[in-house]
Amino acid sequence: MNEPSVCSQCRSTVPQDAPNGLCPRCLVLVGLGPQAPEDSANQATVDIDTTANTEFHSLQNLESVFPNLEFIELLGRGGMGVVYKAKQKELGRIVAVKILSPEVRGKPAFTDRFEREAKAMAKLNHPNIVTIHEFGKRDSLYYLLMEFVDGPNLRQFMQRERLSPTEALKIVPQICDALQYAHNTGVIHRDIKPENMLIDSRGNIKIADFGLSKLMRQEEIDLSLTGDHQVMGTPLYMAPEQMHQTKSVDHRADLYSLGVVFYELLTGEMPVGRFDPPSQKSGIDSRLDEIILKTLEGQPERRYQNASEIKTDIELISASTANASTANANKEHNDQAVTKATDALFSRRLTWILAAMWMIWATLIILGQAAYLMKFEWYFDKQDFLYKMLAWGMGITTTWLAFFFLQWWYVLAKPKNEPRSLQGFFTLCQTPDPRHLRMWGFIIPGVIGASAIGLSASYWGNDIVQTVTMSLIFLAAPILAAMACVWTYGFPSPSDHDSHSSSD
Amino acid sequence: MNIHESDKASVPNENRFQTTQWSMILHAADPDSSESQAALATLCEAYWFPLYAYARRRTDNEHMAQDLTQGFFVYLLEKQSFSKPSLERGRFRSFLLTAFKNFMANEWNKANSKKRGGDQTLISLDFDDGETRFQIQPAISMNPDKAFDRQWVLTALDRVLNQLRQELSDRGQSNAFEELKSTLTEQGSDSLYVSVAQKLDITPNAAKQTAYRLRLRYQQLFRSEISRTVEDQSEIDPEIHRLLDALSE
Repeated sequence: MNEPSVCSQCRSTVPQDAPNGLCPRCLVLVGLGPQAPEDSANQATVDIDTTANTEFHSLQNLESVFPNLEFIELLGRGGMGVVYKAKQKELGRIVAVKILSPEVRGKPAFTDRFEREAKAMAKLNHPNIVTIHEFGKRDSLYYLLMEFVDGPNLRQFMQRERLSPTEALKIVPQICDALQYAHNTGVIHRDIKPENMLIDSRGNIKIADFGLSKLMRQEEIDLSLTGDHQVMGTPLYMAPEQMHQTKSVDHRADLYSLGVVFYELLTGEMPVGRFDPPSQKSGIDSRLDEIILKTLEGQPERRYQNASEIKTDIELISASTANASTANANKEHNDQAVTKATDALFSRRLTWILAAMWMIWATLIILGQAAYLMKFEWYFDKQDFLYKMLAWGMGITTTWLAFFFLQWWYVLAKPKNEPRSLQGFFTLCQTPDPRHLRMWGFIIPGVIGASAIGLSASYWGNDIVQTVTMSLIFLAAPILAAMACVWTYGFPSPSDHDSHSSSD
Repeated sequence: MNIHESDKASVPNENRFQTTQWSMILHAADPDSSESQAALATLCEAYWFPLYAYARRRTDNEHMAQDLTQGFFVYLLEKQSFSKPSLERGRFRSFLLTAFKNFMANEWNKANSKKRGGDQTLISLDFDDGETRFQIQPAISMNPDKAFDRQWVLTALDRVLNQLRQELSDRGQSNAFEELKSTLTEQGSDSLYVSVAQKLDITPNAAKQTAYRLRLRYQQLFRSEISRTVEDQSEIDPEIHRLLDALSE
C-alpha cells in the first residue's frame, strides 16, 4: 500500500480512492466557484492572473494570512464573498470572517472605497446589526471581521418552517429598529433580503452586509464585468428606483425591500405583478395589508418615510389584536390555518347528505310500519322485522348523530376565523374542555336510553301504538341529543358559522 | 464509466426556472411515465456505487450486499413503488439512502423469500468493478451513513472528471487533461506551465489559458452534476457544503 499523500493546498490526506488522484476536498471547493458564463471562450480576454486568486481559500492558507485567527470552518458564500467561522486566539472569541470575492479587486481606487464603506459599517453599533470588529486588506485579500451569529439566515429559517404571522410580526419591528438606526447614521443597506438577515439562538434578528452592496456594485460598474451576476444582488427585493436608477436612491429603498421581505414572511410568496393582499393569503389582520402596501409603493414619496413609522404602525395593530382575541390555547393554530376544504368529513355538504339519508331511512321505516299495519303478506315475522329495523335504525341514527354533533361542537368550539379542517378538529379534541363531559355525559346516555325505550315499546306495544312508538324512537334520540347540545353550548348563532367558506 | 449523451446536453444555464432532473422526477404529474422512470434510472445508474458501498459496510458480506443492491433497484425501478405522496422533498442522495434503509428493513425479507432468480434490472450494475473499488477504500472504520455520503461525493467527482476528460478527448486534447488536471486544485507554478507547454507543443501562456478554461468548465460540470440531484438551483450550494462535510475526517 502506498503511503497516503497529503494535499498541499488543504493539508488533508488524499485518500486512495480519490478521483484521478486529486484531492477531493479541493475539488469540491473549486467546484463551488461562481457560475461561469456558458461560453468560456469570452473569458480569454480576462487577465489570466485571476487564476492565482482562486475562489476558495484553504484553511491552512488563511491561517498563514491571519496568524492571530484560528479558522474553524466555511460558513457559506454569498455574492460578495466567502464567510468563515474563526476564533481570535488572544481573546478566545468566535468571529465571522468575510473575504471578499477576488473578482472585485480591480483598481487601486477599490482600497479607498473599501475603507470608507467599512468604516461606515464599523460605526454601526446596534443589537440588530452584525457588528464589524475589524477590516482591512492582507495579502491581496479584502476582509471583514464581524460578530459571529449562531444561527441560520432568514431564508434558511423560512425554508425550514412556515413562520406564523405572530412570529413574522416579531421579526419585522427588529428590522425596523436596525434600519432606523442605520439610516440615522447615514448608512443605507441597499440589499435587504432574507439571506442578509441572521437569526441568533435567542431569536433575535441581525442584519449583515450594510453598505457592502454599494461597494461591490461600484466595482462592477468600473470593471464592466458582466460575468458574476451574484454581485448584482437579487432584483426581486430592489426598489424600483434602485433598479431603474432613474432617481437618486435613498434610505427609502431599504423600506421597499423590507416590505418585500415582510410580504414573503407572511405569505411565502413574492409580491410580483398583481399580487394578493397578504391578509387573503394568511389569516392576519387586514389592517396589516395597508402597512405592507404602503412600503411597496413604487414612488418613494408615497412610501413610509421612516422605518420607525412602520414599526409604530405594526405595534399598534399587534396590540389591538392581542386584546381582542380570547385567551384560546389554539390561537397559534389560527395562524397556521392550513387546509383547503377538501376535508370532506367536515363539510356542510356531508352533514346534509347524512341528514337526508337519515330522513329517507326514517321515512322508509315509518312507511314500512304503515304497510305492516295494512298487513302486506311479505312481512312474515313481525317481531323479527321490527328488531331488525330497530337495529338498523339505531345504528344509522347514532352514526348520524355522532357526525352531526361532533361537527356542531367543533364549529362552536373552534376559533372563529379559522377555516374548518380535520387538523383543527383533532387539535381541538386534545385540549381538555369541560364541555366534553356534558357532551359525553348526555348524548350517549340519551341515545342508549332512547334505544332501550324503543326496544321495549316494540316488544310490548300493540299495532297502532307501534307506528307512533317507532316514529318516536327514531326521533327521540336526536331530540335528546339536540337538547343536550343546546343546554351545553346554547343555540348556535349564525355568526358562529364560517360565512366565507365557499367551497362547502 | 458510461458518459450519457444526455449529460452533455443538460448543462443548465443560470435560469431559475430550469428544473433539475430530480425535481422533474419529484414533480412529475405521472410518476410512472416512461420519462420519469428513465430519468430515475439514469440517476440510479450514476449513483449505485455509494449504495453498494453502504450495503457492503452494513452487511460485511459481498454477496449479500450485491443481492440487496440489485433487489433494491428492482424494487425501486420496476415495481413502481416510487410514487408515494409522502415522499420527502430534499435531495436525491438522502432519498436514496432512506429508501434503501427502508428496503433493507422491510421489503427485502419479503422479496427474498420469493426466491427470485436473476432479476434483470433496468440499469446495469457492475458488481465486480464495484467490489474492486470498495476494496481500495480506506480501511478506517467509518459510520456507514457517513461512508455513503463520502462515497457519493467521490462518485460525483469521478463522473465530473470523466466527463471533462471525455470532452477534451473529443476535441483531440486528451493530453491536455492529463497534464493540466493538477491545476484544478493547485495553483500552477510558472515552471509547471513551461513544462506542460513543452509537452503539448504550445506556449506557456496558452497553457495557462487552457488551464483557466479547464477550471471554468470543471466548475460548470460540477455544479450541473450536483444540480441533477437536488430539487432546485438554490439547493446546490447547501448540498455542496454537506458533501464537503462528508469528506472531513
